[in-house]
Amino acid sequence: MRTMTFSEATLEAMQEEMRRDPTVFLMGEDIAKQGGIFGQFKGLPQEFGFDRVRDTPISEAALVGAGVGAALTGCRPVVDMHFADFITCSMDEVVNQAAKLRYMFGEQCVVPMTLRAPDGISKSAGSQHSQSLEAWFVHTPGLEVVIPADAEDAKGLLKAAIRSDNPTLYFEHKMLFPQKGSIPDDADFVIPIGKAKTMREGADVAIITYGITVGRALEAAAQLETDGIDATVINLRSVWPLDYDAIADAVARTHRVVIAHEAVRVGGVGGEIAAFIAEACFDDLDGPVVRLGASHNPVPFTPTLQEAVYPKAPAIANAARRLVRREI
Amino acid sequence: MAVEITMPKLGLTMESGTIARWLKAPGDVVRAGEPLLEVSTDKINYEVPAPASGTLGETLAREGDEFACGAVIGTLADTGEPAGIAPAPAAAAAGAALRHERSHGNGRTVASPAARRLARERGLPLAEIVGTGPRGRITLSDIHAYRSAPMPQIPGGMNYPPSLDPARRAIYRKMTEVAALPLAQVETIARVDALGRLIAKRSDFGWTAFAVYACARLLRDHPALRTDARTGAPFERIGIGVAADTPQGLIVPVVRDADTLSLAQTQAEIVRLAGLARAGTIGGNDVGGAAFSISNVGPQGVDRVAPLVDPPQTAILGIGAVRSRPWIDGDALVAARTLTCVLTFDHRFVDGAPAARFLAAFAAACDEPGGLL
Amino acid sequence: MAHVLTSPPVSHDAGLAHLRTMIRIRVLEEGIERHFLAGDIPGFAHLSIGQEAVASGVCSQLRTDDYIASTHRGHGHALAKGTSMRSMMAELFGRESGMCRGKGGSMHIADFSVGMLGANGVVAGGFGLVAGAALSAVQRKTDQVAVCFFGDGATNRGPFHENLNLAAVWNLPAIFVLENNQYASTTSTAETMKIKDVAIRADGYGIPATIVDGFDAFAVADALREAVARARGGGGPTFVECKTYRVRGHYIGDPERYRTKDEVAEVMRVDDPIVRTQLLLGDALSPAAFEQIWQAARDEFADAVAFAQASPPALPDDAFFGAYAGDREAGNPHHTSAERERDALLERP
Repeated sequence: MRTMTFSEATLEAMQEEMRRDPTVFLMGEDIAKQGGIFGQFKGLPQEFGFDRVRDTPISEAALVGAGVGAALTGCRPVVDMHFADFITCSMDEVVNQAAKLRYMFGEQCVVPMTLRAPDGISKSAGSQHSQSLEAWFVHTPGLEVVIPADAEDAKGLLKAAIRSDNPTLYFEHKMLFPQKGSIPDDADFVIPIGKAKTMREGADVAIITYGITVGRALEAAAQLETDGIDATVINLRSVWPLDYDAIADAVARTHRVVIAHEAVRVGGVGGEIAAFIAEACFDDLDGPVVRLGASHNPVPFTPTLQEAVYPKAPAIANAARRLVRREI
Repeated sequence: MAVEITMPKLGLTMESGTIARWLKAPGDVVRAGEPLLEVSTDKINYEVPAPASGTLGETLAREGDEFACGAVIGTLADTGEPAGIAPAPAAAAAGAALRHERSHGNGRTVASPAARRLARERGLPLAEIVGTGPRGRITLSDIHAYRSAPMPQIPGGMNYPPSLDPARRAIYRKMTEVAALPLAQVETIARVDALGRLIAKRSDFGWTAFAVYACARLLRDHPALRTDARTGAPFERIGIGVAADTPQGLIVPVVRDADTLSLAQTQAEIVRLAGLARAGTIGGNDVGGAAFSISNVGPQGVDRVAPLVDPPQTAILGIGAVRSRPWIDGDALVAARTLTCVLTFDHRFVDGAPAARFLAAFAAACDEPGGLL
Repeated sequence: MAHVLTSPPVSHDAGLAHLRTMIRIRVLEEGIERHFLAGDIPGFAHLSIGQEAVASGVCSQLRTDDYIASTHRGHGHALAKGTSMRSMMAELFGRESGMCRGKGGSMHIADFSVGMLGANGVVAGGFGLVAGAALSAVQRKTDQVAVCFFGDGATNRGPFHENLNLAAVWNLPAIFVLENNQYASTTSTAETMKIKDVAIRADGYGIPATIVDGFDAFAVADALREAVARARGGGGPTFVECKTYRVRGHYIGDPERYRTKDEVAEVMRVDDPIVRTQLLLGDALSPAAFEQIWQAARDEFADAVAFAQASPPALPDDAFFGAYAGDREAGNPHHTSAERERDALLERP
């Protein structure tokens, strides 16, 4: 095992996949000369050339549209959106083109495009640069959506996304980029899409989550331990396809569940998980299914305001504690 | 807002507790987590912290009274609020009725799905179970805590002789209950020459450990002797209670899953439990929940004991001291080492023949220990 | 500045080839019209009658491994690029043997075996696909080219501008073919843009542009010959504006309240591309030979319809699969998911 940052892990994944497959290429705004605003593309054009690592004009519709076209015709493009919020500028290309062509054309083609999108609440970037939009794409049939929680996920899921023959959205939380973690030494380390990871096992309550909230859930679990409450933490890794079996198993073992994510709670992925639990795990429940997510307003600018609107470790621990103590 | 102080559930199998001593008085301001009262159960004393900060209510349940887990024993008001209502004994009875109403009012039973399923699997009458969850919800812990003979919620419902301490009261109550049971006995004298030689040779187990080991294994094939009186079905896990005499009186620690332990492991566990019992530090998870018990009066130098069953168990084995006796072996008169074994059983669940078969198998195991090892 | 091509040279063989293609398209489109009105074809259908010369002219200059992307009005483009009438009619009739397994219909016909990257239900949806296909050729170091068909309406959408700019600045082997048929649904070009020739927009992106008579297959072919040579030679994109006319309504059933019947009739009298080519070929094409081309097309269409009608229909069970690569493989999470969806919605006997 080696230690590296999340950003370095994504870079290593890109290097390995670009060396392995000459049809993999990368394009996006401010990636080639600048190396990405988080340094996550550093050195790539030097190794692979500026033809395989391209800076584009500010043209999201063309960027994604061309990504789809290249994917249809024998390439494996990695398209960087700069900020996930800007996917909105190319929604037709993602939703009406990338997601639908394989099905609509009767499986004559594949769209092996990877869309990288740095997302999430960071340092007062404001409402148009702080969103987590995965729910829209889980709701769009034809797309895969993966969300790494740490450096290991970052590498394994990016390699999987690139190798996948399906269009895959890879949401990488901006605040995770500098976070250090361990990476397996295996050169071909790929995390299967659709499989969750149990980060921690405990019998009293299950916290089901993904992305940056996994770390916050683990903090919450440590706090809960001092209260004599032992929590399971499930890192979903993929939000589509969802590892329904892992979810059901966690509920069967703990009987109490808290679902948490940074994305807005209303209409979020947590709702899909909660509905599944209510339907398929009904007899395993000893208490209501609790969901935590950001509040239903745009993300504000001032730090104290920003920090108030989404769930962190204390809120997660509090919800779990109340559930276990049968206060709700 | 007033916070209810309830009898806590302090061990896996705890169903009720006696208020040994209040550490604060009505009107005192307490902080959350501060020691509030002492509760005793099955001879173990616990210190219970205040569940919240506030002013202790005027009416507290009486010292010496016994309550089921979850029963209200007092209240804490927000400091500044008038002291809240804690039930007087009569009110506690009303409280019990109220709690039942909350769980089963309007013809609807409020229970979590997992609790319903567990009650169904165990054959428990959901309608009799009072929920301690929010708004009267019956939850898994309520199912776990349920006994077929529900504890009287009204404190002082039993008139104890005044000089009994809480520990003694627990035994008094239990034996009063046992007195009503149709108990019967079968008895045999087992020959233990071979067993005695084995114990001397191996020196990693004693007589009690062998009894535990043998009974645990025999109980696998004699499920009637490990019937749970609450359900009428056998206990799934074979824990064996081993009666122990301590300065504080009788305690029955449990060797859990005794059928999975080797002789040496059984011995080690018995030694561990006895040590804790003598030191007065045995924990709630080491008592209660046994499927069968053994009482050995050999160490006291007495030949025979006919013990009483410990509900909800339905059988118990009593063994005495090893004695040399004249024995007819074929046609010859020999001196044999013997052990007097008495099996007491609850005839509502166990009949004489199965009891006798079990006892005979035990005696055979003592006579030829190799068969079981 | 766009230049206008006029009166290119006429070759007999080329002329015959254009006639065959255009007549096949005409027969196909009129046949689709009849079957749609008879209730055999669900959904919408958009006919390209009158615009056959563009399809024929463009595709005559392309290899099978070159790419085209089309619009919602794509039957002619697909046929000209090499797809079969059988697989198209089976698709329109909702059969499993259709080119899209009954999942696409008229607006989404596609044939990747001949480089047809699909008709697109989103106006201007093809620009990104063509820029991408051209970029793909560059990445894979082939000399393939990619052609985007689009209408005047698409030139007012964002992707038109973004992709033309990208193709120009990256020097992509893309060819943008505008069929300016004067109408975008119910609005004429006069109402929706200030300019007369859309080709001048190409100037704005630094892309060489040509304007041609869209009713003249030879003119279109000539413009494409130049554009293809430029693209294959690494000279970058070209914009070709074909002035044409949408003879039928926007869709079959369109009440066409935005123009007069006389306007339509006049265009077909003067500019029918098939008649124009026939006239250009002159005495070298006998009436009998001309009629033979028509008959061959009708026979091909009749055979296609018979094939479609005899094909088994696409089955509801199949609706749940095909969205994801791997969703027909047991054990794949997409397969498990598709089965779960099917079981929730389909009643089992």
